[in-house]
Amino acid sequence: MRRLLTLALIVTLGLAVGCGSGSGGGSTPVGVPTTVTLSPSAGQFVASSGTLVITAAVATGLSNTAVNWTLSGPGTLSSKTANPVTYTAPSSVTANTPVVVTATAAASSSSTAYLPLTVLPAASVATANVLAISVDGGPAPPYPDGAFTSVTICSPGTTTCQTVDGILVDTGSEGLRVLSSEIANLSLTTLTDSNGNVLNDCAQFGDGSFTWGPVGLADVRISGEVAGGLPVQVISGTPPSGDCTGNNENTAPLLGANGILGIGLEPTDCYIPGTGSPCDSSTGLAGSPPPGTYYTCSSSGCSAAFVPVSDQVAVPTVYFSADNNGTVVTFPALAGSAATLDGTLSFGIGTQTNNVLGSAVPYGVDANDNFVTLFVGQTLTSSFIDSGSNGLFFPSALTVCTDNASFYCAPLATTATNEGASGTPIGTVNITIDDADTLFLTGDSAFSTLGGPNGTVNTCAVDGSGSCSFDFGLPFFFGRSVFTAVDGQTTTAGTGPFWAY
Amino acid sequence: MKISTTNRKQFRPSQLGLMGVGLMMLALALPASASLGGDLGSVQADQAQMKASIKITQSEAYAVHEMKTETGTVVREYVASDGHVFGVAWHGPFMPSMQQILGTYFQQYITALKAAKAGQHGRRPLNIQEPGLVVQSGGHMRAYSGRVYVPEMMPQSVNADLIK
Repeated sequence: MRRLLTLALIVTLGLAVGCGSGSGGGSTPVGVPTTVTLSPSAGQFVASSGTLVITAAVATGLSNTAVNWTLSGPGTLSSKTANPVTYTAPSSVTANTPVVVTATAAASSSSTAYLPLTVLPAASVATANVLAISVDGGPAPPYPDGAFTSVTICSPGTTTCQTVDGILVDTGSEGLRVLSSEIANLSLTTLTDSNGNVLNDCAQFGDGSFTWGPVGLADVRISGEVAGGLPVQVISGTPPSGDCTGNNENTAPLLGANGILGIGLEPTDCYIPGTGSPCDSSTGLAGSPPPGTYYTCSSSGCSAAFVPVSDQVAVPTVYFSADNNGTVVTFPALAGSAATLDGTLSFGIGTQTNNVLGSAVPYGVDANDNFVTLFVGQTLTSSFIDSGSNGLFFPSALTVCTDNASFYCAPLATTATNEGASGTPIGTVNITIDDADTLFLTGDSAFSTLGGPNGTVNTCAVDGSGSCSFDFGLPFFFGRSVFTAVDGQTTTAGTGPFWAY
Repeated sequence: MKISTTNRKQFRPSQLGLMGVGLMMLALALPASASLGGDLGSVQADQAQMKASIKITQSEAYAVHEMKTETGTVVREYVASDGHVFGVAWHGPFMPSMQQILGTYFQQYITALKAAKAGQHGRRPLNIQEPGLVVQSGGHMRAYSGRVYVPEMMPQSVNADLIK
């Protein structure tokens, strides 16, 4: 799914605004909306000294289709009124620099559209789609086997930005979520219904934790990529009692991070694989809003609400102008443990020379985005790969730690065989586990042999009930490039969703 | 209410945070309903709250009340012959309300969940093994599964592995 980016505010009344020697003029008749759309419409990078031609289309019943251009940030525009206009980036910048080009309709000053850009140092262009990530314990250690990175979040249509580090890289969830405290100086656009009730999102995780907070539109700049008008969850507050229950992780010490970059297989956080969004009433997939998803809230409480897909908290890549069909997470091999481990998150699959599949083989998934793992006599039919799980988690008889039943405190050396949902491919991977208590005593943050229980051994039933998951968490990524292809997006290896490694 | 993309206004996240606090203090009261440890009335309350269809399977020592919501989540409640719910299991695309399912065991669950994550942060399957409460929960967004049961409430002949 690729969101059609209409960055315009739709208004029904306009004021006549003269712009220099603009032609035509007069006011927009009441009831006739004036919209401005830009081409290109999706945010992107411009190399230093580079140029970008931007065209504005003004749709209105009037003869005056002129626009006035304004620029926020460095660089120049070839004209204030010519259409198309050419933006020229400054000849050198020392770091990724946000820029915004805005077009305002001459006939209707409240009708605008903007294009968010990032100027890149020339040396960064080849890796514009590559983001550094690190297993370093995060902002609230200890956090074993968590990969963290930075994203830049901007008030939409402006160059007022905040770079937030300590963001967890999570291929098992969808959506960008940030602690409100980290972006307190920003002004994000909130979404309301016709009664002024504010849209809030509940994101539940399998361990019983959740994040809650309003949805805000932001221009998000990640490496050289730009996601303009991206719906982001601003983590704050507490939901009223209802279906959003569990452990509310709304601070860094609770979350272990300043936010979560969910880059999973689906385009938004309410999307059924290969089907669509039951949170969007136009799909007809649900008669009432699914529990624990979206709510509209006022001072007197919240009600469950349907939300169109275009307003749902989304995987940022689907809003990129390019490199938007999936991601690749790569880490070097690790024997034992390390204080820190650096890797990369690359955007796009087969779109640049740095994100080709190479020897990676695609594993198809079922209607739950899962594949099959044969493991020590069990057929685990709900298995998946997840950088956001901090270890390898599987049902077995291995002894759990007495001080923390979430980890195994006994060694294991064996193999697991993965099968794509269609029956192929079939591939075997090594599984090595060490005593977690011994690992934690090192004080390291990256552990290649950290594991723990996932339900109860030998209970997986044919109907999918019981403990049926091998959760290939972050250690699986060490020594691999793992590709996550988004549902419905085409890649050189087929259409998503699928994993490849 | 549908969200209209035309209704957008600038809001500082700090203001949104204050709104969240306000909501906490004015939380809507929901009818009290317990599942785990509760009786058949609580099972019916769960069914109503989930808007689910129900199928009951009777065994010698217990009955399984299986509910399926319109969006595909299956919840099974295990009811002993004396009428109390000793175990609940779920799998599907949307989490059932843990507060609804755990009832009077909810606070114990939250305390154990926080303790499990305080020592080592991170997202991973939950495994709470206390004499008074067992909770196993995992999965990924849109594919959750888990179960809860109270060991001391299990009927004599029933193996906990059957709760799934």
